[in-house]
Amino acid sequence: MALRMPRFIRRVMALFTWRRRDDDMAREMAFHIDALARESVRAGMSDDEAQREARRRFGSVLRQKERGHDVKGVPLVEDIMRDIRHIARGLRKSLGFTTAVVLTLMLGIGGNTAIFSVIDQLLLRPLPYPNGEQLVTVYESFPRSTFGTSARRMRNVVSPANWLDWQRESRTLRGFAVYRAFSGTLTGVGDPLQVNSQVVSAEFFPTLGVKPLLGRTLTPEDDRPKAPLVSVLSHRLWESRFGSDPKAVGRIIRVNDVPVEIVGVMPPGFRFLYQDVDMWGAIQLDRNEAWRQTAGRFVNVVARLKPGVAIGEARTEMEAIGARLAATYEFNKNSSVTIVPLREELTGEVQTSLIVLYAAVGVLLSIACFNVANLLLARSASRRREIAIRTALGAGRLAIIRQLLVESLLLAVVGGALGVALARLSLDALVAFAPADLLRVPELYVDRRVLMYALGLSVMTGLVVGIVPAILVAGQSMVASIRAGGLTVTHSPRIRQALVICQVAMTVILLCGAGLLVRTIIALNGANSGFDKQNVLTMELVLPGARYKAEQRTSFYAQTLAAIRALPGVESAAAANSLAVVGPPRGGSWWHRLGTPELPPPERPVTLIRVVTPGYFRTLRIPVLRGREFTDADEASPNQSFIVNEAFARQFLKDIDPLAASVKVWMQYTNPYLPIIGVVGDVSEGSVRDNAQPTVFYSHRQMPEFGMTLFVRTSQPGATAAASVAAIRRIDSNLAVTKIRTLEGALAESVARERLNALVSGAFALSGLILASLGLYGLLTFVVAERTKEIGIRIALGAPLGWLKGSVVGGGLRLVAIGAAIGVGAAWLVLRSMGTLLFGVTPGDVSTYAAVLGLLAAVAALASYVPARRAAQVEPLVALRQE
Amino acid sequence: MAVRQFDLLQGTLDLLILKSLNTGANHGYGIATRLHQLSDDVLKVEEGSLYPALYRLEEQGLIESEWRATENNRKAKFYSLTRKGRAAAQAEHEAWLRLSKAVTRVLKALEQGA
Repeated sequence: MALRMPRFIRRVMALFTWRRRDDDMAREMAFHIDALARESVRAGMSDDEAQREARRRFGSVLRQKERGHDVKGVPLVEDIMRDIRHIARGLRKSLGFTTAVVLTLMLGIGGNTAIFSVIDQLLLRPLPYPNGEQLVTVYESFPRSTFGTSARRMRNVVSPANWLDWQRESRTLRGFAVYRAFSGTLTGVGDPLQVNSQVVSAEFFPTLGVKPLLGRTLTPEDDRPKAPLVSVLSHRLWESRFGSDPKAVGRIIRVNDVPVEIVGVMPPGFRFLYQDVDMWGAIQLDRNEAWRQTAGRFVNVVARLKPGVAIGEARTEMEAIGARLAATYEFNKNSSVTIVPLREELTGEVQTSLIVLYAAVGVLLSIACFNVANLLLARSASRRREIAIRTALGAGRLAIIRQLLVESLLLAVVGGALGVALARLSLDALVAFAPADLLRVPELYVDRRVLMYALGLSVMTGLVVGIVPAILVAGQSMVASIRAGGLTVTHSPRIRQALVICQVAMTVILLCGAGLLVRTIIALNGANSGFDKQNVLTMELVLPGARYKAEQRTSFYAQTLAAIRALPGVESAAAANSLAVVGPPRGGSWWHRLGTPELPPPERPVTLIRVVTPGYFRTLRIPVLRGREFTDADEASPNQSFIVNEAFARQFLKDIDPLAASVKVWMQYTNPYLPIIGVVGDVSEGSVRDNAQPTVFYSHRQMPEFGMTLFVRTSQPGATAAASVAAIRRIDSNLAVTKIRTLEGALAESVARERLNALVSGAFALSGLILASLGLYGLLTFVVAERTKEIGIRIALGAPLGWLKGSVVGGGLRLVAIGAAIGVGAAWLVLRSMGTLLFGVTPGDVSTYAAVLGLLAAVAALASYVPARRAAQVEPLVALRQE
Repeated sequence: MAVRQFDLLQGTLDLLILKSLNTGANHGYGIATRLHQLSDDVLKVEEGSLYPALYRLEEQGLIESEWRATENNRKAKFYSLTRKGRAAAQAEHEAWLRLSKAVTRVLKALEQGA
């Protein structure tokens, strides 16, 4: 006897040998029947008669085979496989229906899968560091009133003194590394390249827990003040500039004209907070310096929760330490400590958007489900006769429900598979569309987790859309169905109408939400930020400190701007320490007006500082409200001065003439009182949605920055860009000119998140609208088909065609009106949660809702009119002959 | 006098199939004919129960099957007992004897008591 496999395995194997087994049984039974026939022939019957008699005696071969399969195979699975074969045949026959359902589900499941994969990769997946969930960033924090109003300003960078005290005192956190963004010009390896770097303390790499691919990371010796400079490269820079040469480690490169030794290369994909950082160097802070006396706050801190410590414990402890330091040092007065999980740091801004988009795509999927359920109902109504006959032939109720469910599952899985393909494509588009820093992941992909999600979602969708039609159909009286010939029994019209109403309501919510986001992006783009952003070209430059002393920097920028002003098409040109609005100010500090009592430091008023060259306000068309702006003459004269903005004048100099005031700002080593020579218009600070902050402008000679952003007002930005770079290269060929773009483009990038919100939700809403109108169209078409006979009689009796069309369109619009009313009410309630994503529009904005309703009415009228016209074209004679 | 034909109880059919195979392999038609003849045409094996019973016994590992030529040189599927089937046939047989003796005893006693 052959070795027998365990029964379970044999039965599963049996699924694959079904056909062979079926054949085997057929042959065996044929032999039996044949033998019976021979018996009868021997008894004197004719061949034909004998065959008939044998068949009669044997009974149904089919039925016996089925019982054989029941014994030998896995009955439910085999039944389902038979169902699938049967259904696939049926679906191929009604191709229109199948296509409509599969495409609808593809939209719903695909959108859902795409957004899920973004959420998964940004919010759910482990961070790319060992035990990454333990990592936190630590900030000093101040009461809101000290700096501006937006929540972001609550956190502040850290004084090295506080960093060292935290490190010494904390029992819940370990590591405590500092990091700071730094941008350097890399020379000696191909063209000069501006490289974004982070300068970090020796604790940085051990705290993150990531080992280098090659060489080593930074040691405490590298991090000592005045130690030889070393650098760790990103895998990407090592690949692109050093051709993945292992001998790159040990090489000397020049960064800002200073020699630096490469000591290591990080593994691919290593990053900390920013995608575009390609080098890490030692920050070399002197840990014995009295930092509270000599400098302000300028480093960021990352630390790691000790194992088993909850973030709440760490917060409590760090706040206590912060309070102790605030009580001890004048410098720390009002300062506390804020701990932010690294995950939140990475996704904070995008998280709300993602959740809103996920909700939106969930609504879209529901619309798709309603649509498909409706189509399935319509189909099962038209198949009622077939089902009744099958019931009569002995198919059980459960068998019929099973078959209908298998049908909807099959459709959902096919739709889901196409949906995954759609998700794949839209993720690529999303990455191409979103600026790198928005998503902070190098790529979005569909992997096994996402596939499992899509599969689960498809199966659920299939069950949800299939269950109602299945139960309805199976519950019907078979006799009534057959007698009615499957034609005039109405097909659960109330349920189908309810489905259309739900679709319309949800579409209204989607459209209103998307409408608000579109209004937001329009408002942001049109926001008056206080200057004219059109036709301004910007680019960024950093001068290497080794070759440029203070006066040389000022004269370099003066010379460069003069050369650019001479280019054709250029109206004016100037520079500032960073981009207007979105670029960070040079700093913030205490200030004091001559002739008023000097308050102790914590109570002194605070102002932001920006650095500009002569011509800056004219170039950006920021109005000079009082006095004048800096001129070339100011740069040459020994007398220095300040310009302030309107917010500063309004807040601090309300009752006096600003131009008669002299102020000093604690910003540099020596801070003389200087006269205010001009008051300029306000410019949004931080983002176009924020208000201006009190600001004092320094001229570049007073504060000769290395890195400046150039602004060129020109009639032909394209040509001017190339000519400007050439002009700069003629003055110094070793400078990297970066971020060459229009000011308008730069500002648009700063609202990329909002643009993405508007675009993605808009796409969802339009899909929803299309699905809902298809649903309405489908329902009305069916109703018209069903009423053909009645309509024929009416036409024959002389009913006006206009009235007929009106009754069909009216029936459709009535459903839409009910759905729209529900949708508007729901939108009113639900969309309030979008508050923080909106700008320049309220969640209950009447004109947005009105526009949505107008659009809906137009589309609904169109979707109803086509079936209405068909009704009007009914030929009375044909219609009456139908039965 | 017409002989009344009986349908077989399920367990009984299994026993008869196993016992009829005790003397050698046979095909479905052969088994049905043999049982019919041996019972003097009293027992009628419905084809509708024969094949499911054969498949069930095969599935239980009591019999095994093989395609072979008949004496008329035609291909048929022959069933034969496995070792497990032989033991089961014996056990079933004894169980049946006990049962039928018991039934007979009860019937007799009831008859005398009446």
